Amino acid sequence: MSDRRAELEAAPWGGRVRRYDLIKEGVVAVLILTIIVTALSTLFGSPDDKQITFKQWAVAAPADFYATAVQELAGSSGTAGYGAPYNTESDGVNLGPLHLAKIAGVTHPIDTVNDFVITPLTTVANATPVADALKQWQGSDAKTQAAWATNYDNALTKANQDRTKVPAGNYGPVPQLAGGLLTMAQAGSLDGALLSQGNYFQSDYTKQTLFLGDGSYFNDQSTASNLQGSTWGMMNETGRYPGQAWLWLYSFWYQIPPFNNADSHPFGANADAWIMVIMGALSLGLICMPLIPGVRSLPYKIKIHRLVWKNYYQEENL
Amino acid sequence: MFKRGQFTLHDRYISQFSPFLAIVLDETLAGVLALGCSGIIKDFFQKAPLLDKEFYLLRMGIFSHFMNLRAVYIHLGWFQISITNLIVVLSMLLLFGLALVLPFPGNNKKGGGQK
Amino acid sequence: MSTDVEKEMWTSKLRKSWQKNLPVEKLLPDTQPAYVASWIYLFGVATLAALALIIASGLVLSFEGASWYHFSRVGHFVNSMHFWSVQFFFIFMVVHLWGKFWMAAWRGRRLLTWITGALAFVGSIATAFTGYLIQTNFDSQWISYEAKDGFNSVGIGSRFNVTNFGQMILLHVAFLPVIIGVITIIHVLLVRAKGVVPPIDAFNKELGERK
Repeated sequence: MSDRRAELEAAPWGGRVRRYDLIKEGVVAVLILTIIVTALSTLFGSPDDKQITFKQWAVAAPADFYATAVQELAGSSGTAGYGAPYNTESDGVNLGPLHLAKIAGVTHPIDTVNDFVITPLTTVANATPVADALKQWQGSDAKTQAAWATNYDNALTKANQDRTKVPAGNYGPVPQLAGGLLTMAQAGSLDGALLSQGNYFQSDYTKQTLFLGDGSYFNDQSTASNLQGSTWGMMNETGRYPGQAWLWLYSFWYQIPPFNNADSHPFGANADAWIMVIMGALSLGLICMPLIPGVRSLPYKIKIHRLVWKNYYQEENL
Repeated sequence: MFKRGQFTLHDRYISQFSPFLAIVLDETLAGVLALGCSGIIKDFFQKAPLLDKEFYLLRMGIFSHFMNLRAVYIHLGWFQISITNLIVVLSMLLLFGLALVLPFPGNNKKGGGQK
Repeated sequence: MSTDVEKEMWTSKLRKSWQKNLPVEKLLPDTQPAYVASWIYLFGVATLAALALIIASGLVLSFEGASWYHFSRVGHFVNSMHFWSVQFFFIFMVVHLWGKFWMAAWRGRRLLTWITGALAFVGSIATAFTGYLIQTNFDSQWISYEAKDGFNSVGIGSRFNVTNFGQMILLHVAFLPVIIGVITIIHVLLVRAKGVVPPIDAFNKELGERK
């Protein structure tokens, strides 16, 4: 590319011109689009599936909720073992030697035992067995608590989450605590207790969202709406509405090997981090595209510009 | 599914501004909703079941019932796209293609521009 | 005032540079080069029109709060306007981007125009994403749950917490629109200042090159 050409291309246009009313163009564009968007809004509305509450979860899938509560006590839930930024239970995903989440630290500490189960239980007047269980729990040391919860968690898993089939064992007050939380959730008082954590104002829903995600109910709802990341869910929307189609490339990487296999190391297991890096690099590539050799020459090789400027080229015999 | 008078207009904007307008609007919208959710839509489109999930009662849009049915997906191996997203993508390609091929008005007069 | 003093003043420097690079005739011209004659040129302004609708409907939504549209018919309608405007915004922007790529529109020292445009695209994706997070419905519950892993995985989640509704709503209605607005204004001013890029083959004759 000659400097002379760049100079000519940069200089103010000295050739033929045509009348062009920019403001009229803009106003007409706004008017036409307003009509189209109003029509679509009137015809189709917009997606708005009702939010899931803990009450809804506990009523619709009590066994799932109960088992999740036990997992939160035993520390076996997804959140309990997540690592940064919620706790230090795991190193989280990595980019080779880099554990970026761990480096960034625990900025939103979550203690699943107390935040999800014990503290909410203390905010309501419980039935006697639950109140006694709470006293017994709070009066014991961490090691005993963990042993009880883990014993019960394992037994419940073995019994396929059917608490009536769990054999007797050394579970301490854990069954009563999970039962109390289930009652509380079914009555609808867990939603508020989880959010406020003893405060008045609150606008951070991290705790609820993570607790909700630890169970199967929430995930099942998302699968039913085809919103799971493994099935291009990132692009999809509830119902038949268009989704975030512009996330297709981000979503794409999750569908192909090695990223679609969480058991493959090192990439599949750390897909989230690697895909973030890939998309960051690609975004940077888009921003700097005119500087990338090869890509920047494509418009010269694939001559779509002959179509854009077909009239001008014809008129000027170019 | 929707009946006239089933909705009461809670929009404080309009009912404070003009209770009469609120009633007119309410009736009109309820009528439109009733129209949209009967006859045509039910007979021709309601093949898929509604998801087992609650919706907010207030769904405006003549075809909102249709739009909230279970989405239809095209599967091709690992590739999957909802019909609606496909329509969006195809319409982008179509717009791009048309923009390149369709003659632009007012450009046929050669030398019509000013120097 | 002496010219020497005037020369050193930042204010007069800015004024002169402004007058030189972007006089009002360039900002609001009534002609365009003869080659600006294709439907593809409309997609930039169409994107701006969609942005105007997004901002207008978004302003109404912000006055009423994030949950209004669940319970008000007018609210749902305004939400629908917001939703569909965003769909069109991206459709138009992508077609605009394709068009500008195949025109190699960064030619003639227009690199910064391309960069600001691409930044606006990436920034719009982030802004739209935060919008999906504050719908206060099932969709936003799920998206926040699912997306947290992506952001946490590279440490961004420690500061940008998608499950923190308060943070997301503030970013969506305050910070991000300002960023998008500023980038868009710079982008449009650059287009006006530099003019519409001439055809790739426009100067072949002058340069003695054959097509």
